[in-house]
Amino acid sequence: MATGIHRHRRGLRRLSHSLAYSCSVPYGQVMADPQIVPGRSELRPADYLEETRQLYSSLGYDTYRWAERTEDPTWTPLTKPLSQCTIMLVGSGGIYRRGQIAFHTKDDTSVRLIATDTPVDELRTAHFAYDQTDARLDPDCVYPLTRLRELAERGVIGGLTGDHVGFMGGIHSTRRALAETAPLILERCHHQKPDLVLLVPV
Amino acid sequence: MCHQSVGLIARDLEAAGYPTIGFTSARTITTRVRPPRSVFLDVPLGHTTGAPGETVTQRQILTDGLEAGHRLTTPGHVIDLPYRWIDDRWKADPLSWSRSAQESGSGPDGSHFGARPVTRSDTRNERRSEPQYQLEDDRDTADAVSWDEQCRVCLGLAPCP
Repeated sequence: MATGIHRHRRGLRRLSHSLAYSCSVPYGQVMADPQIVPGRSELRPADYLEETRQLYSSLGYDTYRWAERTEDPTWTPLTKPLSQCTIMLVGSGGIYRRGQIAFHTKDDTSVRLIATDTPVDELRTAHFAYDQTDARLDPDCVYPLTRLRELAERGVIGGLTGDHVGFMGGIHSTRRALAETAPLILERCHHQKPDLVLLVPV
Repeated sequence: MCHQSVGLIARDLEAAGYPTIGFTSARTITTRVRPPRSVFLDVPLGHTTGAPGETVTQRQILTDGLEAGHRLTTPGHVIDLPYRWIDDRWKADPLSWSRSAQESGSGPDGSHFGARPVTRSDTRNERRSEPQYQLEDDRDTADAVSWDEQCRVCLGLAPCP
């Protein structure tokens, strides 16, 4: 990691307070310049379908067959205001907790339960398809559990379920993702009964 | 593929009676699988809900995303959130974005960051069938747990599935 400077000193103190046993990851550092700012890019969004097609083609590989759904998704109305919704977080950035078995990267379809009070410095990532540097510096980049806890404290959302789900979403086989991963997450929903599921892919 | 998996799973959860809101930073993949409610953040992969250490912006992005998603009434619709990456150079070759490339100004094969390489090399990470621990300490800690007696996914920290 290049130069990260300690800009938000107050935030950093709060973070380091929770790093009682500490570890080698410098959680809480920020970049020298803000990376995300208000506004809109003048360029079109990156088209990863086309980018992947071009990459595979230039390497002489067969085209990856992306899944497609043309029919409308089933719609379950959100009947409560946000301030009364209990939210369950499902993140596919390969999030696991220190002590759990990490994900492998060859179509790992398993899930990890992340307790809602898990300290941020115990969250880890195991994935192959994105640069994990920033997510390992600050897991909230891809798994906003700390920010959700803050929104619950401020009353923006009603609350959080007792545990949440992490999995490794880089599953090439959509058949396996739907047959193996989806039921595990659904089972957690039946158990936790969230009013709203927040999904964060990477 | 992450966005594809999550989009398809969102459809299943919603069909089972659970309302969902999904963030996305890969707009075309998401619109292809049409999850029920999506909010788009136009940033490089690995920052679906924000950039490291930017807690105030992260909180605002999350609040905006949840509120926008909550207001949606059209199945399969995507809302564009009003944020951008600090500069657009990453869009020249989005699959190759990395923190080190942005900081050093050069791509994985020595190409100039912000320019599309003339020839492509395979810089993708190999996929492995063994657990990929972030830290060796994680492996040691996991090895120390008796997995015969404990749930492999929850460490006994949460009620088992």
